[in-house]
Amino acid sequence: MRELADLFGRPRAGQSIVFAGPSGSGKTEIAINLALSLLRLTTSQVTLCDLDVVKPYFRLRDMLRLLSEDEAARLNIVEPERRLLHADIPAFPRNLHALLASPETVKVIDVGGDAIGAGAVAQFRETIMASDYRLYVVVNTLRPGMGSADGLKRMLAAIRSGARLGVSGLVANTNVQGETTADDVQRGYDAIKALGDSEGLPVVAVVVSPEYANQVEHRLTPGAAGLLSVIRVFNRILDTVGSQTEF
Amino acid sequence: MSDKVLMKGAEALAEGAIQAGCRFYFGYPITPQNETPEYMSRRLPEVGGRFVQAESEVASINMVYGAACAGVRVMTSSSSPGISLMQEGISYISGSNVPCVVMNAMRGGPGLGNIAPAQADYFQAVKGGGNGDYKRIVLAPSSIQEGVDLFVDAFELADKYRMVVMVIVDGLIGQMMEPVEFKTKVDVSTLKTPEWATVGRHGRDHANVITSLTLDAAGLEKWNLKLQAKYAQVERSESRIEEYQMDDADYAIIAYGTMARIAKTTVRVARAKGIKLGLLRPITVWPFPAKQLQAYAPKLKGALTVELAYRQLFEDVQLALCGKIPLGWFGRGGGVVPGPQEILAAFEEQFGKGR
Repeated sequence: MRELADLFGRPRAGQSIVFAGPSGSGKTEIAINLALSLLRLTTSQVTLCDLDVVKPYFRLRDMLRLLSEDEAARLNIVEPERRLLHADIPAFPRNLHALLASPETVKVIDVGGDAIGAGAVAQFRETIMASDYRLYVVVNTLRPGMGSADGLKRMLAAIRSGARLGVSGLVANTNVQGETTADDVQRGYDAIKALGDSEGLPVVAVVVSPEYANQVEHRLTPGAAGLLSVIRVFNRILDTVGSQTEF
Repeated sequence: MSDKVLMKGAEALAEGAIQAGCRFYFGYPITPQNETPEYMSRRLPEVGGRFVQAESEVASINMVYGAACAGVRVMTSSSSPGISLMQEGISYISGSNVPCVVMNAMRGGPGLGNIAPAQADYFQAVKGGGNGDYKRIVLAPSSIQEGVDLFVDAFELADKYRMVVMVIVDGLIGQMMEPVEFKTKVDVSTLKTPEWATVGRHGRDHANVITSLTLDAAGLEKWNLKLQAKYAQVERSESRIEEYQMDDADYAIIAYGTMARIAKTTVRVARAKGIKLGLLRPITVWPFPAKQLQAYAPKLKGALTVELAYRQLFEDVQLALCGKIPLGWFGRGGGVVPGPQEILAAFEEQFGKGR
């Protein structure tokens, strides 16, 4: 198992790591887990930016309650101002240009799903481009429409044209939550690797959750196994979590 | 390779409707179910269907009315304030005796409220909402998979009884993601256009006319009696309930949808503490499974109704069980979702330690 911070090349202060991709592919979970991994492994300041103007629930702002006190204290969170958090309007945090240009901190940026979500960050394009950024597209091949090579290509083209930023690599996040098998992860990686090969993009990480990490770990080809990382914080809200969730 | 895909509730229910033979969708966006029309707009053209984003909810439901009169499988979806706007159309469709499916991903109210999950449209769904003496069948899934499966039943029931079938979920089921598989695929080429559909005379000696207007009182009363007979038949045949850990239960929680899922965890936590608690989960909230609840009355020392609303489901529980066993109630509103421990605390406060 590898640390996410290492798989993303331990970005330094000043750099921006942007996660885009189709809706429901796991951008928010991966952003939060990369930020935590950076806190564990480096002494850099880490800022997590919630730029999701698409989905109304299960956003980064809703997942912060899953962090320990220590993690929450060390992580710099940038989100829309309090009174607008649940407003269902596409509000960005204030002072975003200044933050994106800041040399003091690593910025991990979670943008909304699909071309629409990616398009919302295009207005910060010049600032992001000046900030030494990497943009990764997160893919779960077990989401609707992602099961074929054609579907994956169309998705990538849509994200590219939405964000109007260069893509640095792909993140393989194929899963059906707790029911995921090693075969699912391997086939997902193979499909995303094929997409990457045809588009000249590397697959930088293969992400699994603790629910099925053990069953997967020793059953992957070396290519996929070498990129394997387990996330620690993930959102399975119902049944047992519940606990007065306020949205 | 998994046969399942990972889907958001609002998308999965849309695909479930398509697999159930729905080929027409008319709607207007509102959070937290925008993924349903978005998904429909992409998928329906692929399967030879039609999607229209109408100019309002009022327009949407009247487009549904039109398509329903043509005898095709048609639906709309919205969330609480949008469903309020559709009530006139739902009454007209019911009064015209034609089938359709309406989904409500309920959010916090009253009024504009908020976009958080709620169950406060229960009365609107099961008791009325629009004018006149009409009923709809109301299905209340508590998981994405169950919602997908129930969509097949929703269209079958709508066609069988020529009724509006409502599928009520809350924003959580609309927005959460779960693995899902599509087990039933209805072949739309096998669906026959009904005799009553307004799709041309085709050599018949009369034209089909569909209307909810009957000017003479005796005639309208006769029409109402026909509807009432149909509703009585539905009440006798179509109520459904899930019974969870009820075999040896001393007490029951009564809850539906998301609240029932969380209450299942409460049941497990309570049983670990030695409290014999079970769950009775209405799957149809109209027809309300009163008989199934009443069958448990002799065995129970009490029942706690739990809902994301203020004493709405509780009213139907009271109608079914009042005077038979002690009844308690617990609910949260405005989009706050209680956890299993909070429900257990409410149970212990109202029923002691359950011994």
